[in-house]
Amino acid sequence: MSQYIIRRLLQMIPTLIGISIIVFAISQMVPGDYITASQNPNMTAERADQLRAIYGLDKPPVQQYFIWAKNMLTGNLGDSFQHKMPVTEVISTYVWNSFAIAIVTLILSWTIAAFVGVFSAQFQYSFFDKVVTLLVFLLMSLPSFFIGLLAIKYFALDLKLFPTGGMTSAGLNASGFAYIKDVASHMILPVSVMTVLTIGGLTRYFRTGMLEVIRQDYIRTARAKGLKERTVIFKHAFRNALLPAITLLGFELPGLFGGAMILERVFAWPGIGQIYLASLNMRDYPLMLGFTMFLAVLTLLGNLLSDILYGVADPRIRLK
Amino acid sequence: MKKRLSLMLVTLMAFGSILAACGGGDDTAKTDTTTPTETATTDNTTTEEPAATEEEPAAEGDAIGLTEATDMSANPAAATARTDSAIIGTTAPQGVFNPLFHQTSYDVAIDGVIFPSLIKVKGDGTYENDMADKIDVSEDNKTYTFHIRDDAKFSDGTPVKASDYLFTMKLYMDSSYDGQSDPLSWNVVGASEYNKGTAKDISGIKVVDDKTVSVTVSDYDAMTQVNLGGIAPLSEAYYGKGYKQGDLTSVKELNTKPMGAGPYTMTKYSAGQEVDLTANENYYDGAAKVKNLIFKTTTDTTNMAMLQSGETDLDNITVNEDNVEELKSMGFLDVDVLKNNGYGYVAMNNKNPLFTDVKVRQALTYGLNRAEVVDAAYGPYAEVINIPQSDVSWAYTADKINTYDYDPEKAKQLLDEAGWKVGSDGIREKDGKKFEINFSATAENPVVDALIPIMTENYQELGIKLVTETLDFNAIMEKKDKGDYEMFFAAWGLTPDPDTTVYITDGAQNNSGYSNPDVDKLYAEGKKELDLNKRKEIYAKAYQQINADAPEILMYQRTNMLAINGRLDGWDITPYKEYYNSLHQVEIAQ
Amino acid sequence: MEQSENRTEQLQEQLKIVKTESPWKIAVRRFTKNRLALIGLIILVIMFLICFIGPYFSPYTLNETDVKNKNVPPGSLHWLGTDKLGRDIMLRVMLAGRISLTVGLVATAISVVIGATLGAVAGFYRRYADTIIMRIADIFLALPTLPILITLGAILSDLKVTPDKRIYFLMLIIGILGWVGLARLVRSQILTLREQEFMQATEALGLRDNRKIFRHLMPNTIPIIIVSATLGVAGAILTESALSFLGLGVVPPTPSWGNMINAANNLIDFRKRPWIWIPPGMCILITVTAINLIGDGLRDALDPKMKNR
Repeated sequence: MSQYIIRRLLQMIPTLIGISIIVFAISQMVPGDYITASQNPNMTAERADQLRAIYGLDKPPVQQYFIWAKNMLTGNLGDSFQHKMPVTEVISTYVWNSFAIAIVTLILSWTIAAFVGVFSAQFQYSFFDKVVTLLVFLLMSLPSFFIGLLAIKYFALDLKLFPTGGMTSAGLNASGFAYIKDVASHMILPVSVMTVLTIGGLTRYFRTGMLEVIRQDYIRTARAKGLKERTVIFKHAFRNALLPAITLLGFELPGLFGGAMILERVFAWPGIGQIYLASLNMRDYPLMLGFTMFLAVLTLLGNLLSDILYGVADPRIRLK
Repeated sequence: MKKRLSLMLVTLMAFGSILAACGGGDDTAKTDTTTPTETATTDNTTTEEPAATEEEPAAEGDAIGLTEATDMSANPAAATARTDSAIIGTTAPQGVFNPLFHQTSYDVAIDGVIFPSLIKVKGDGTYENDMADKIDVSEDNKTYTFHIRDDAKFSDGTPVKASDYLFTMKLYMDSSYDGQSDPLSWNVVGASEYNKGTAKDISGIKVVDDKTVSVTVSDYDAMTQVNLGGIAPLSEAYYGKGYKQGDLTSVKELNTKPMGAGPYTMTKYSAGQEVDLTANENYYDGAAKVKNLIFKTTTDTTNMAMLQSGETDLDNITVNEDNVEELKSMGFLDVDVLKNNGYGYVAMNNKNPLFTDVKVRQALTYGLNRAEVVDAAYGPYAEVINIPQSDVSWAYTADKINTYDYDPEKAKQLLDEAGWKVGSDGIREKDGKKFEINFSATAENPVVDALIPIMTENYQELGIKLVTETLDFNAIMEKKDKGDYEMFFAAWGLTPDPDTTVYITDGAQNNSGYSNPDVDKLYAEGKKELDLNKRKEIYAKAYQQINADAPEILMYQRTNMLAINGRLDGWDITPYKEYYNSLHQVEIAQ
Repeated sequence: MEQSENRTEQLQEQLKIVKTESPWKIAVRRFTKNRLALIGLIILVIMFLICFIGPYFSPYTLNETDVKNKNVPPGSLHWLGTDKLGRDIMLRVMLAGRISLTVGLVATAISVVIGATLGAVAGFYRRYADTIIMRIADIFLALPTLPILITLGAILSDLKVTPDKRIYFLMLIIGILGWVGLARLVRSQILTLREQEFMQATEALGLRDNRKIFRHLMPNTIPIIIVSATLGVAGAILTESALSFLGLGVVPPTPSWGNMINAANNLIDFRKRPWIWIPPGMCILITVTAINLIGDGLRDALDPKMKNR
């Protein structure tokens, strides 16, 4: 196993180099650069040239790539054009806000989806199963901003249960527990909406996995042996039903840090998703490239993680 | 799962275009020329009012103007409980709180209450003294002497000195300066030597005494005084600690900890969430009456809801009939619908053989039902325009301006005259070439939504085939830069001064390739002339010429809307004077 | 493991199927017997018919705007009301369906074919095939989607590809975007399946690889493919409208369900004018449900573990 992990980690090096080349090439091909995207009223051709020289955008692309790659190896992702501060600082300012909702959402959605999936599989074609299925499809049929709006309308505006948006109350000078409480109350709506959106798909995967397993002969055998239904389901079936889902768990790793662009916007949540989007629209390449590479590393690690988890969960699989 | 994830990623593009609109091009640097703003649905540039003096109630049935709150008893407790503070709703600032470097209008707004300049804009778009109490201009218009007010102090209590002005100018002229201004174009004597590093000082700037500084330029124009006076002096003691010529890193590090001489000082900045400010006791016009000021991040999905719940006191809201009605019905809000400094237009590539004939360009203007497009997109909250200037500007004229009212017959006649004859399939032809136009526009924009179907139908009637596409804004701009386009839709922002490069031959902002030596001459004269009345005449002539040449199809001037909780009084807001320019005189009425 | 007890039974079952009727024939027979699946298929066919034939019976035309009659609620003149430009929503929903149904199904089909095949190949051969395919998948996942799409949009525009042809690129792009997730799911299933006893049987019988993969392994991954496809159709329909902003898809005024829903983007539309967003939303819901019914039927029909009833 450890040999497998080492080999996979080594494979990550050429993969990352490949990704960095492709990503950089794309940034060169995307129409416009920071100077054109800022659409500055005072911009003369001379000033544009000065700025490109300051940013090093006047150098040949290959040279730019090597400068960027070299800096990256030393942990320097450059300065964001828009924020006028190091990219690492921009990312660390916003990424944890995104992480906070993502991790809570992950835990909630996996737990709920597992239970709902299992129950709706066990009682396939029952009323419960049908309602869940329909709800899942309903949520899939509407764009996420729409569901976010809906939640704000009912829970924040009409019922006044939660704040409309943001991460803290304006002018709050609390710290410690009071601060956490304030943030938590602001998190409830975005987390709920994100959870509802993610459990949709997950529930379907759990339900399918469970349906498959329940039909297997060993479950029939277990039942025939006279085991309690609960034991059969949770002890024998559940673990095997989890297998396909584990593949998905690895994918969640970059998602934890990637931010949710639409919902962050709807709920005015100060996450990294919107910052990344703005970097793209403003052609703020150091930030855009830096964040992309950050996510790329997480993606590769996540995939490795899910392969390892898969091997652990199912000893029959021989990872080589 | 991942699939859904990446699909969601893509879905955001919808919002992408909107964000870009807010992020890009809203710089309100106090200089001349026009700002191209992406044709934003929600561009939150600030609001205005016809150049009247104080807040004037709108006339009956007039959509534009101020509607005062009718029922203050409806004011939510959340708002009335704030007896010494006001909360301004804003799109998240980027955290660049330094007038040298700020870029988005949201950062600009916050800097507006922290960093006063030597001069400030007046309600009518002209300028008056602010931190300078006297400005002397030499006979040859090349030397400007600024007298800084004796009582001007930074918020740490130290006086604003002439040397601070010099220091700030050095930062602007530094070779590593990458902000939005173009300081070398100010023609300050000795600036380029400092920029190149061949001089340690800027020879054209002389510190006469503690409070007096004189600046000499090699060449002047109407904007020179505005450029030089628009500088907000930074404290050398605070910002100059680690500064070395050629490296502004140490200055940028203070971007999130600004220190200025304005009515407010920043006490807390939480990125993406809020900016807290408190009144500066040392402010030379007297400490602001609202003690605490909070800029809280809102988004266009929730900003109205937050006003309604009393969580915010002021916000920019996208203007449309629904929103205006909703805000007015709340009763406790002053709703100010004000003309936007800008206009939307359909650019035609004047260098493309299709559009070289002025008759064709006029025909395309006559043949498009602009009034219907504007009505569909904005209802009564925008107007069709015929010259590229706001009708509240001093440079505006309606004299001898053709209004190009929708007239398909006239359009057809003009096309016939231009040699485009209707072919057998109903499409016009000339020299064997079909009249087919490729049209690009950004998506998710109320005007484009209305423009495309109406334009397609209108031009079809003229015998012209319109092929439309929606594209990323930067992609359209790149097509423009390459000259590889036929038509696109975009919008310009206007700054107080009418000087611009949009219509001069090969001008930096000239998107349509339009060229008319007469217009070039008029713009050059207008820029050099210092007398306002003479400038008025010059620009009127230029606009008349542009109007006749129809280099682009001018579409509309829209409005902005500012909703303010009625408990705040004392504003002085016009199309040119932003809400934050009068924040220091605002009071809380209980 | 419990499974070993049933080893002989399973082997017999596998062998029986291989020898007698082809599994696909059995599948068709089973599918037509499944009432719910048939209903799903009928609904989908009706949707297609309405969308492709319905517009010919409409008194309105696509480009016809009528600003004076904007935002009219449903009534006798406009059965489903009008939008903010006074266009008939019923006509638009039908026209939109042509785009959305086609895009949803074709794009999903593309990603399912690519994803399932590559996933199966990677899982079956392991070693080099696995390494190469999965590293490509890694790169795909790590690449930033948005900049690529913006670039593609600009390229299509520069090449002057007419808007009606861009729809093909759109389907291809959505399809290609979606294969990675499914490939990984299928691969991991195959990794498990290939260690099972029935595969040892195929080994013993000396079957060729493609027969092993497509006849014996793939049918077992059908359930997961179907879930992925159902989710994919809805996703593709909504994604279409986002891509269209970048010049990769349909151009306004051409409607699609996605851009019709997106037109209602604020609380006021949501509250005051439900007729703007409910019709396209319902259409997506019905489509997804129908596809899911068909999918469930397909799964039961294709499931090799089901008894031959």
